[in-house]
This record gives sequence, C-alpha cells and structure tokens, in this order.
Amino acid sequence: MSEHELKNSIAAAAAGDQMAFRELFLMLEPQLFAFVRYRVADESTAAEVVQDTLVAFFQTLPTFAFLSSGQLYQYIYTIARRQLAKYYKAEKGEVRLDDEAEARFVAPQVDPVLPLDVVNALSKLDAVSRDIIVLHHWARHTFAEIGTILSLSEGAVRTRHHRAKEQLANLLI
Amino acid sequence: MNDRIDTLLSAATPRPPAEGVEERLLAVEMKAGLSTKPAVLSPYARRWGMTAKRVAAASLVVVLLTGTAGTVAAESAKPGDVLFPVDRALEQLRLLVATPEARASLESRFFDERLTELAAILNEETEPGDDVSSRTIATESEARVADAVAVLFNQANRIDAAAADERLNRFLDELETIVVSGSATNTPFIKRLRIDDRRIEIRTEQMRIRIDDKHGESDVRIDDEDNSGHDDKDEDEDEDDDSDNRSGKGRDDSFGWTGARLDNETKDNERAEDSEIEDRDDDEDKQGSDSDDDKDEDDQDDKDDSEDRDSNADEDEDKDGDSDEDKSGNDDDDDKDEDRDENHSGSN
Repeated sequence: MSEHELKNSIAAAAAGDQMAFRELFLMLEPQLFAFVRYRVADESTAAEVVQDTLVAFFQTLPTFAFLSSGQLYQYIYTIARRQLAKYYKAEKGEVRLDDEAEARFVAPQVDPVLPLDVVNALSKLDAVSRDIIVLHHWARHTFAEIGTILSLSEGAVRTRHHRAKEQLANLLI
Repeated sequence: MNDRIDTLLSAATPRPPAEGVEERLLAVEMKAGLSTKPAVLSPYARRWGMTAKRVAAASLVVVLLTGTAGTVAAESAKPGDVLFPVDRALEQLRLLVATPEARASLESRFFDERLTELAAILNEETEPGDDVSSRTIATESEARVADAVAVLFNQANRIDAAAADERLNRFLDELETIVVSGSATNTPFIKRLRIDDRRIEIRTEQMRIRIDDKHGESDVRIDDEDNSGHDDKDEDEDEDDDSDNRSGKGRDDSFGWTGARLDNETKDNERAEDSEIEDRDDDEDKQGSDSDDDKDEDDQDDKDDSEDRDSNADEDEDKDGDSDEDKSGNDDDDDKDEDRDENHSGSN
C-alpha cells in the first residue's frame, strides 16, 4: 500500500468505512504477529497481544494524524510494546519496564513451531539488530520505515542489517 | 550467501492462523467499539458480484428514494433512531438487487450490524451501577434497548442458527453485566428484558425466552407465557431458580430460533465460497505489493551496504545513544493512547 493509499485508508477507516477497516486489519495483523510472535511463548498469546494492539490502535484512530507510513508504524509498534509490557507484567505479577518488550526473546525450547536453528541464531543477535531483521524480513517493512520505528537513520538501519545478516550467515550456514 | 539467509528467514516467518480471520476482524471491530458500515456504492460491485447494470439501477433507486446525504446518515442509524427505518429499507433494497449467492452473506453481515448497533446502544444508554461489574439502564432507555434486541433476534431468524449462536455467545462474553430494572417497556412486543453476563431473558405477551450461558454453551428455553403460571410480581424469585421447569416446554437446543429460516447447508456453502474469494483477493493483493517492495529494498540494500558501512558507522553509535530523546512524531498521541488503554482496561 502506497503512502497515499495508506493515508486514505486511515481516513476512511476513521470515518467508519468497513472496507478500509478491513484492509488495514489484513495489512497490520500479519506484521504485528511477526513482531510479537518471537517475544511470547505461544501462538495464542501472540494472537491475543496482536488483537489488543489492534483494538487500542483502532480506538485512537479518529484522533490519529497521519504523517507518513514510518510514523504510523512507529505509533503502532509503540502500542504493541506497551501491550507486551502489560502481558509480561500479568505473567510475572511484577512491574516491568517497557524496555523489556524491546529486549525480550523467547527461549527456543518453548517455541516448537518456529524453526529452531533460525530462532537460535536470532537469539544470538543484539535486540536492535534482531528487530531490524524481524521488521524487514518478517513484517516486510522498508529500511526507511524501520528507521522511523526504531529512531535510527535509514543508513544506520542498513548497516546494522548487513552486519546482522553476516552474523546469521556464520551461525546458520 | 545473502540469498540463502533471505530464504531461511522468509521460510521461518511467523504468520497468524489462516483460519478465523473474519472472527478476529469482527472481534477487533466490536472490542474497539467501531461502528463500521459498508461504503454505499462502488464496493458492492466487487464484494457482491453485482453487474454494472445492477449497481447503476440500485444507485438510481437509492438516490431517488433518499438522496445521498440521507443515505449516508441512514447507514449510521441505530434502532430507535428516526432514520433507522430508512437503513432497514436500504438493506431490503440491497437484498433485492443482490445475487442469490450474495444474499446469505448479506443477511449474515446485517446480523453483525445489529450486534454492533446493540453494543453501541448499550454503551450509550447504560451507566455504572452500584458495583464495579454492573451497569444499569434508565427506565426511559429500556424501550430503545428492547427494540434493538427485538431487531437483532428478528435478524437472527434469517441466518444460520449455529452462526447466530456463536456470534451471540461471543457478544455476551464481551458484555458487562447489565441489569434492566422495571417491568414494562414502551414496546408492545416486549414486556420485560433482562441481560447479564450469564443470561438473556425476554418476555413478550405470548412467550418467555431465556438463554443461559452454561459453561460456554447456550441453554435456550422458550415457554408460553400463559402456561408459565406467574406474573411480573414473582419474577425476581423465579429468575434465580435455574431448576424451574414448570411449563415442561423448555428446550435445550442451540438457539432455537423460531420462524422462517433459509436452508442452512446451502447458506453455509455460499458463505464459505464468498469468504474464500475475498480471502484469495486480499492475499493476492498483499503478496503482490510485498514481493515488489522486498525486491526493491534488497536491490537497494546490496548497492548501499558498502557505502553505508563506512559513512554511517559513527552516526549509528550516536543515534543509539540518543534514541530515547530522538523519537519523532506522536508523543502526545502515545500518551493519550496510554490513558485510553488504562481507561479501557479499567472499565472492563
């Protein structure tokens, strides 16, 4: 979806257009799921966190001012991190910082669905590099969007992405 | 090497379950309190498989009947609103011009709309009760809620009973405890209505319908009002006695909707086909844009990596250090969002 289409869809969904709401949902759900999945233990929990994130996002849609796709995704992933933080807090029964949502990585042994070698290799990366890999290869975001999401320059994202892939190659091949 | 890594990562991409997309979409729509409506004209041709002639004819009739502004306003009308009859008339018009294949899908969608409208009305017409988990409806608002429930049940008669059962159960799960006080409503059809998180009870002149949630399953009882042998005065005592079965006409059946019902099997097949076509369209659209985007990015990536590595190494470290302060865009919105999240979860 181009920037223009995205902007129109946001405006239409905020105005109650069912088609636009559906399009946004179908676009955002897989991206959020990819982002959330490797931070929680099982698929159903991931689906729950994604749903809460989408609910919070659509509730605030009427007041959201679209500037760019990067800004939109930054907003959505911020909500996702907060929902993850709430989940961790409920899970552990103690107060957690939002930062944990940034660095958290599920132990491979509790995640039988994802390929273990890839999950193991990803777990060796630092949190930011892992996010870049996940956002680019799994959630299909551009480097410019990832830069906005992670508050890095696009060049810095490319550099980290390149290094992360080299590291993954050493671990996987 | 890069290709191999790309392939491995791509193959490992976690994806949400392919099944249940519509249910998840509906759940988000209802939880977010959205009241979305299909757009009036152009989407019909694609979604309902209508011919251009039918779209043009339907558009003409709609415009002649109500005018564009009236149509849009009627679309958002809820039971009890002045324009709601217009909304219903437009729905009947859509059913008339729809192909037989699309009709069942339309009826199902209208049922979802009735659920959304009821949720919106309950949200508007209720206020916090004496304790945290209950909400009450003012006496003057009962009629509007009763109207919405009557309209909902009427629509439920027109769709597959199992589908109506499932969606109603999900709706009830979301519903907070609602206690309706008073015994009479302004509608001639419904004498008394009670909805809480375990039960829906409706009493009309002729019958008493009670739907209990028993361990996730619906227990439906329909009794003749004349045979029930009690009046409004002893209602509260009677309501708390779940073992009561005086009439002997209680039915344990997945929502035992009475009245005319379309052939369920045919409708299910039609709906499955419709959703398959829609899902396929959406998947194709998405895959097309994704793959293009990915290809462009990867091409650029290979070209720019060597340059970026040198020129951005310093910048990279600086940005990492400043990342918390350097966030652009929606800080205010984020704060609002957090407040709303808290309010939302608090109210639940």
